[in-house]
Amino acid sequence: MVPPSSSTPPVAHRASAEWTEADAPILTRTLGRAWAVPGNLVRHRALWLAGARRELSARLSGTVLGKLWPVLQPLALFAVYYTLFARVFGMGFPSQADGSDAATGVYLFLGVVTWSAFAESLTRGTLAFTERGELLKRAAFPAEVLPLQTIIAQQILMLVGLAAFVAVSSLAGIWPLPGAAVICVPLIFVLQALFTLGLCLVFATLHALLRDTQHFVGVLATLWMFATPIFWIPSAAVLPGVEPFLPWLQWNPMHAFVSCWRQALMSQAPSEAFSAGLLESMLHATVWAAVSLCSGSFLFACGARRLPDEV
Amino acid sequence: MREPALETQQLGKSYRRYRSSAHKALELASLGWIRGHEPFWALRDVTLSLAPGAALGLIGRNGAGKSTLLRLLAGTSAPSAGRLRVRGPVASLLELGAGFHLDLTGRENIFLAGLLLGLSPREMREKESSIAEFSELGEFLDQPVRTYSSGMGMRLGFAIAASVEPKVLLIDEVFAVGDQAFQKKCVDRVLEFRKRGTTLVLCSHSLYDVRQICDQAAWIDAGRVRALGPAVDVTNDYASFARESERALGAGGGMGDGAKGNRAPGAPQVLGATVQDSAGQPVQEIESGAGIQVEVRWRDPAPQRGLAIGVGFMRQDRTLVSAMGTHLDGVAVSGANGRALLELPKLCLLAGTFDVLIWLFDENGVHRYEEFVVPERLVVRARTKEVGLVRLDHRWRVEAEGS
Repeated sequence: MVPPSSSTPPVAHRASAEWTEADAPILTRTLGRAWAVPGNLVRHRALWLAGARRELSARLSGTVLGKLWPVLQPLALFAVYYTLFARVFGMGFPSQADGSDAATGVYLFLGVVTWSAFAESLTRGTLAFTERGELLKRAAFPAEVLPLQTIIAQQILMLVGLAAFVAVSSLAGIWPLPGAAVICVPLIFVLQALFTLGLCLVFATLHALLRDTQHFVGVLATLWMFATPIFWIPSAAVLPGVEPFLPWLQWNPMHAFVSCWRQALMSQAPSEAFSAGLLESMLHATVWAAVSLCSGSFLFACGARRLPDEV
Repeated sequence: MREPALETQQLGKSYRRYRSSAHKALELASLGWIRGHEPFWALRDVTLSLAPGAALGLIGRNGAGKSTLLRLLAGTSAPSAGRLRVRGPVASLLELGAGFHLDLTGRENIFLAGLLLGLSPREMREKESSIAEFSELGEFLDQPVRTYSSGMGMRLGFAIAASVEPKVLLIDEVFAVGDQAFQKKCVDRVLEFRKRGTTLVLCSHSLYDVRQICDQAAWIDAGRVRALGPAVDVTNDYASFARESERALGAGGGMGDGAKGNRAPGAPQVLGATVQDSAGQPVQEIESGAGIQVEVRWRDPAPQRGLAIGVGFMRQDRTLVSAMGTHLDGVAVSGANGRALLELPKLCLLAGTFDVLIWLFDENGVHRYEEFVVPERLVVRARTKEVGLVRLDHRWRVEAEGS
């Protein structure tokens, strides 16, 4: 027998005695639902934390090396970029002329790792609702936690890779440890998660309604990657042809995030690689995260009522 | 008067049927200004009110809208028309086990399900042992759910939902799986919930379960409430409807239209027969245990010969429940015209719809002249939850030792 609960009564999602109306004013209802998104994320953190943990263990289970992969893969990646771009192609920063071509490798590596965390989160997060349709149909819980758990899992993998790189590269004498700027990392982590979540809410909702979204997001991610300084250096001194496009970069949110990561983790940042300092980039990132989360919550709120019927 | 625990007003749910993805895309792109869908109403105009502690059974055919209604009440699906209100925490057992992650162990799923129900990990840890005990899964609890049988999955699901102590419990076809012993445990548990004042909505194909557990029932047919009222009445109505449609499918017509068979010229004939209550008024519906009488009027072109009159009650599944005849009781019948009255002071049939059959035999009851079916079927209503064909007179005496 289950004894009567001695603790507080279970929190119900609809414990209030409010009417659920079919024809409530659409604007009030939608705005109210959008407004509830941040609160739901905080209140149900145990849910998405557990979900992120599950996704991580699912990703690593069935492999021989298991937990080593999140470490090994970025290190291999760095080795490739370092050898290929810096050594073979001779790509480099003029300001680092003292033979420290490692800077190019580090620059590319940080860009690729943080970008792929975003791109993977975006493409996987787009499927967050449709892949868990059965759950959405059967359990009454805030669906917005679903993309977040994917994002958090992805970003934790990214952090592990970054930490492994920082440790190995400083031990091997390739690149020094990051400076005090590293304290910004948790904030950048949160901002990027919220930024990605906003986009995922848009695309996951659209994907539930129309399955073309997934393909669209795939194309978008590729285009976006080349529009962001991941594999190139946004400096006329390095790439003369890029100059006319530089003013537009401030409208690329991912430029702000990638700049944040690079500046927080590269202690000897080559000055020509960054048009804005760390603090300014963080400010941009904050604004983008807020814009993305607001629009994402709104679009999600527009479609939220239809989700269980469409997935 | 206490506030209802659960209320719906003109509740409806429609799904959108699109002719093609292009229609859907067009509708989305135009923000709904161009309509590309046809609404399909899975549920319409459902107005219900359940007092705290009441239990409502939902019955009806597959696809009638029962599960849609449960989903609306559970809050997993939003209404398209009308409104609903549920007071207090809701827990639902909707198609058990479907929400489990197959790769996780039973124990991990307990936590996950708890989180989905809105409980904190701490609360779930407190409940874990009692859930484990109730589910009777033993060491399987630490195996992936993938390895479970459907009955085991159901046990786990039921154990979790039972642990939540909900104010409103929604159950969809739970008792269909699992072994007898566990089914009984579930029913006991649900009855225990009822005793503690949990409001219950139960969707089941088992009219027996609905009658056992619920005091009210709603018969949902094609998305609408066709009947709503005391569980015993509604299940009776539904049962006779179900039998009827079954028979219509099977026999493609059938009885109920008076005289049957080829009557030889000069043979005796039933002119008419009615079922009456004990006061002599024609009735079509009676309570189980009430008295009735059957009146038979006949004509015989050859009045000098003797006749025998038989009366039988046949349930719609063609089970002859009971038949009696004048020749068996030593009553002589003869004459050119006549009227016979059969009195049944206490009709012990249980709930159901019955055909009343009249036969005319020769005086020895060997040759059958005619079979006549009373056009109006007799509907017997039962206020008891006993099941079967007849109510046998009985009393209980229990002796026990020890505790």
